Amino acid sequence: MESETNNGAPARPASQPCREYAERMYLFEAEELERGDEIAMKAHAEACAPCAAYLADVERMKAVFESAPRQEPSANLLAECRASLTDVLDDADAASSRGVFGQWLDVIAPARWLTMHPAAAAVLLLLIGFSAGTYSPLWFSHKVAPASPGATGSADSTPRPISEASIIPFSDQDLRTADVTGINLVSDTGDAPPQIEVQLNAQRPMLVHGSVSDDRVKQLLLYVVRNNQRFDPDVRIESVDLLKPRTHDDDVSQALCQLVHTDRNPAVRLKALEALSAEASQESVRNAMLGALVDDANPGVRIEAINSLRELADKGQVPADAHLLSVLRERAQKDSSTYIRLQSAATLQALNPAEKF
Amino acid sequence: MGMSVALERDARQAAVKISDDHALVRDAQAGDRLAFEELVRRYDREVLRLALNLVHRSEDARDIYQESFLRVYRNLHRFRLECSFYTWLYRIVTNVALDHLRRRSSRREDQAPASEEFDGTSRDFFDRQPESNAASNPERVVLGQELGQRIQEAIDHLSPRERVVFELKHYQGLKLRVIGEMLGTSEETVKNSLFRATRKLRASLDEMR
Repeated sequence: MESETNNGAPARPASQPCREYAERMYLFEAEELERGDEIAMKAHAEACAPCAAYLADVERMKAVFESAPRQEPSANLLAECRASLTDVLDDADAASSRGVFGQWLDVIAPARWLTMHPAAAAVLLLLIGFSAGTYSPLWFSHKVAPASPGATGSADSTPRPISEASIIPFSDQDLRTADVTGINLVSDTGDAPPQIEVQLNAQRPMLVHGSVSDDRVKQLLLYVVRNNQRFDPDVRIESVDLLKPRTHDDDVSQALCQLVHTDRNPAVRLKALEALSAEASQESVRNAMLGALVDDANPGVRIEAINSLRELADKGQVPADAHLLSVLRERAQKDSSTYIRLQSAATLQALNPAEKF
Repeated sequence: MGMSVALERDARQAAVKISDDHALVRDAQAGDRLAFEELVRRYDREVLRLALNLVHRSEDARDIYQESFLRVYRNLHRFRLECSFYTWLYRIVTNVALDHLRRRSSRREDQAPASEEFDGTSRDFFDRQPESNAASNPERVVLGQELGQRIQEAIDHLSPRERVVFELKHYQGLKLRVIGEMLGTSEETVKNSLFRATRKLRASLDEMR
């Protein structure tokens, strides 16, 4: 064993530690030796040259490893990693929303592969187009024909909404890319909600049949209301009108309240207020009406709001809270429309007969 | 007394952190993407540091970072909160890194390059260890960099598993048992890998004297 170098540098081991202490030496090296065992091992090493040399070398190596500079990720690298991870997660989310078919397609024909093989991609697209052109009319004739308006009745004679939506489900992704090109009233059977037909121009054109009691149709109409900036005013007005029978649903009333504040077209706002009048006893609806009465620039919308409030006050369906009274007082004095000032005063009187003008 | 108070405080802080993590995990499992991003931000610097010190190349570290967090995202619903999120995350990262190193070591062009700086001089390796005040001495800084380079070269000659075990033990300070759990192997196997790694490193560094 080399005990000391010529230049006086510490010895490096040329031998292994004693067999009976080897295990403890290894554990000491791994920093997992119990304190008591460490004391015993060091006591042994004081009297055993091979173990002392081994121990010295272990400690020297540890010092070497500890003094080695470590690579620290730069702020730029971290930022790049975060940005690319966000993209990857977006892709993962999009892939999961594409459904099983999309993921299957990714597996058999990944975009990267298609990019690398343009000729094969062209052949594949031709095949898909040919197959779709050949078989989709057959498939549609099977699936759509029974869902015509004439087929409303069912075996149990309970009227069921006819809905292609239930046959051809549309996803949120479809809705995000869809344009509603028309909403047609197919039949109005009196008490029952009217049957409607919604034409969607999306990546795959869709015709959705049904009534608003069909949740898929409701979902579609709510989507139009919630994303009002994407659709034409006539589509928005139709949607609001068709949702009217379902204003007792919280999601519908909330969407319409939001529309009262956000839609840029006064006719749509007016229609939304009108639809909400049946639910004006709800606090959120009342607040939407008060908001419109105070903030809406269009007098027609404000008139619709004060009329609904007046009707509620006359029926005793609205609590005379301080906020409501203060809004009515302010409108009774300051509104530019004489009708609104008079109606505000009358509503105030109905709510608080002691009010003096 | 003071030390026991400090340990107790550390343990309490660790418990709070685990509890916070688990709350975020539950939100993320329920589909809250922001909660997931918060978890990423809590640990991603450490993940990147680990990856960088295992593979020594920014591009590879970026790949490991991305693949690890993507696996976490896709498998989060399987995480049952039976261990800390940190342990689970590290398990994934080390396995991704291990796969990466194995793939790399099987590619010829990625074999560790011969040292350009190693000129075979007879200067004693241990004589060139940097001192604690190396930062104040430019020559010592250079020697420190050279030492790092040499250790890196020596580490590049380890097998992927030995390299990961060595990194997790010496630089991440993890227990052999925990490393075994992360790598899906026994503590004994980890211990053998570590000792093989240390023996090889010692031999490599001695050759460089």
